[in-house]
Amino acid sequence: MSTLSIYRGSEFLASGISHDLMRFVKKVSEAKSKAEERDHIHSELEYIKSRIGLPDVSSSKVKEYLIRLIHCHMMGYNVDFGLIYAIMITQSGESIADRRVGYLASTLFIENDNELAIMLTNTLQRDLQSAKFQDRCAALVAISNIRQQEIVKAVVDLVIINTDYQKETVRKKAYIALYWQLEIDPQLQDQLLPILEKGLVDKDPSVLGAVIGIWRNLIKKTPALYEEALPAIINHLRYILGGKLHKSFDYHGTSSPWVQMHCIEILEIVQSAGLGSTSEIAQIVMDTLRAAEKGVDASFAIIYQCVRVLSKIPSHYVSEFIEEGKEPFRAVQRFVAAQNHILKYLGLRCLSLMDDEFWNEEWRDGKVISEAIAISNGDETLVDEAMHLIERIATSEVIFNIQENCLIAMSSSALQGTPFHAKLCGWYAKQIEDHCTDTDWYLELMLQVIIESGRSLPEKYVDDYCARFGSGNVFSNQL
Amino acid sequence: MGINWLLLVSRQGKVRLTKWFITIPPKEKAKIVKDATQLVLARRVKMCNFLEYKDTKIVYRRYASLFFVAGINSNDNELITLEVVHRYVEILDRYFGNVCELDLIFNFHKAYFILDELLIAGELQESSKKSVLRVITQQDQFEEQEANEQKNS
Repeated sequence: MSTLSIYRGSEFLASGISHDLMRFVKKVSEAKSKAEERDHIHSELEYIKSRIGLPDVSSSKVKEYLIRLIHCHMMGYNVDFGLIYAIMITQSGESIADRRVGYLASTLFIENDNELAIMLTNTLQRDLQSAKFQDRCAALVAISNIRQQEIVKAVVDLVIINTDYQKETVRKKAYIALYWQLEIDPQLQDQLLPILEKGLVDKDPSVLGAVIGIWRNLIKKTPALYEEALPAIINHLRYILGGKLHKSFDYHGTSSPWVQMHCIEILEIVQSAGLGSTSEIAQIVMDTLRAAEKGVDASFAIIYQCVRVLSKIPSHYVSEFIEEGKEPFRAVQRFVAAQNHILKYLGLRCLSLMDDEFWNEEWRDGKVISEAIAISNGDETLVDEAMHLIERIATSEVIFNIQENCLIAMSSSALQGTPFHAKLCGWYAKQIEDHCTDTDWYLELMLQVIIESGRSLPEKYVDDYCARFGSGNVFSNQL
Repeated sequence: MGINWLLLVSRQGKVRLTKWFITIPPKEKAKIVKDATQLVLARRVKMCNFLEYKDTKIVYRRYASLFFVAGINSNDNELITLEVVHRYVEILDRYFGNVCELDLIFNFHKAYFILDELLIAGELQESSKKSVLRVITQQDQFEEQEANEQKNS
């Protein structure tokens, strides 16, 4: 693409970046080799190093240099010399844009035990009290990303104050910053937990959503903390399921799926730890599952998570749901039968979580599961799931049943000679060896596998096998 | 627990954005970027958007000429991660107006700001698209205002 056409292009014009920056980015993007890229970047770094510290350089120029340094850093090059300037610009940058880039560069360049980080403290303290909410936000995000012990002590009280700020975006970030501070300094627990509990009754659903995410992490570490939080969490989940949340939280027809997800994860943790009321948990998971069945995309993720929880509770709860006609696993049927790889994968994952007693009849003979192998076309992620499931239910009959689908995959000309093909052939041969108890079809099937495998099976294996074939002693080979 | 890292890479293997939510040495970061890029570029169209990588999982999706790749832990829900990535793309699309790779090349620092509004330290902080866009555009307007004031003064 010619430089001129880029200058005229709307993307460049809209970006507001300078010609120098654009030229640099373009040069680096179009480098034809790693060595060329390295040369461009090194010369750029030398150039910036010589200019950025000069006394007459403007704040916005420093901002631009920092953006270039971010680009170099992103490509994996060392830009340590730039950190001090990033920190300085957060303090003395003339415009909000300059200071914002300073914070961004600082958080990206700081390796978490960098001593220079302490120098940000004053700026953070100033910005946490700024009249402009944008400054507060920038500071809170930086605190969450940098996570240093000394900074924590210096700012924690100011962060706490921000959890009461009138703008919801500030409160939300303040709670998140507090969580990360708690992670670094667990001693703050007594001080911070009550504040985080307060977050659970915040009027704004955005804030509440973020706080629930925080509680998921807290409870994962210390399940016993669930007691104070659980009522509010279940309350909010019911609120979402009742369709009461504003439409802007919709994601492709599902209301606030990520928060639903966090709630279910919390229930899973609580249940696994043997805490909480199993029947209450089972009921609300069932309700969430029911609501999710109507949806797509993120709803699939929710269904998956619900199946995970249901598979962990004592099976008599699930049996009760089935007796009541609630069919907790009916969505799984749809997934297992799907042709789309992701949905099929999801179906198989659910099967692997579920207790055998809840499997449909049609899954037990292996044919439906092995369909995944037939349609896989080299998709190892999908096939691995199918293989694990087949191994779980393997009997002589099952191995016989799956032959058609396995042979379809093995005979695919596109896969011949690939490592995937070798893996599949070897796997099926082993299943036949391990499980077959019937000479009638054993010989014929093994022969077919060897033929379809082409050169994929080890030569020695094939030779040994043919030798045994000849000698009439067939049932005891090792792959 | 959340997302460990996010990588945007072009079909030619050029890195357009990397964001790390965990602390690991630079050499390890470079290895992950290299391995993930290789694995993802080798995938064919209909395949699952998930892979195993050492003892973690990779979730990816291709949008036009860019691959969005996320690293998560083995027992995390890969499907929801896919939707988080999609949400990010939707927001970028709304913000830039039919986003393309060039937009991200020239505005990678803005892509970072938007990412910070959606995820902090790997955890989703906001599930309302409108909310994220409102905050970002307000920020932009503010910065523009300030820049104009400076020019005039």
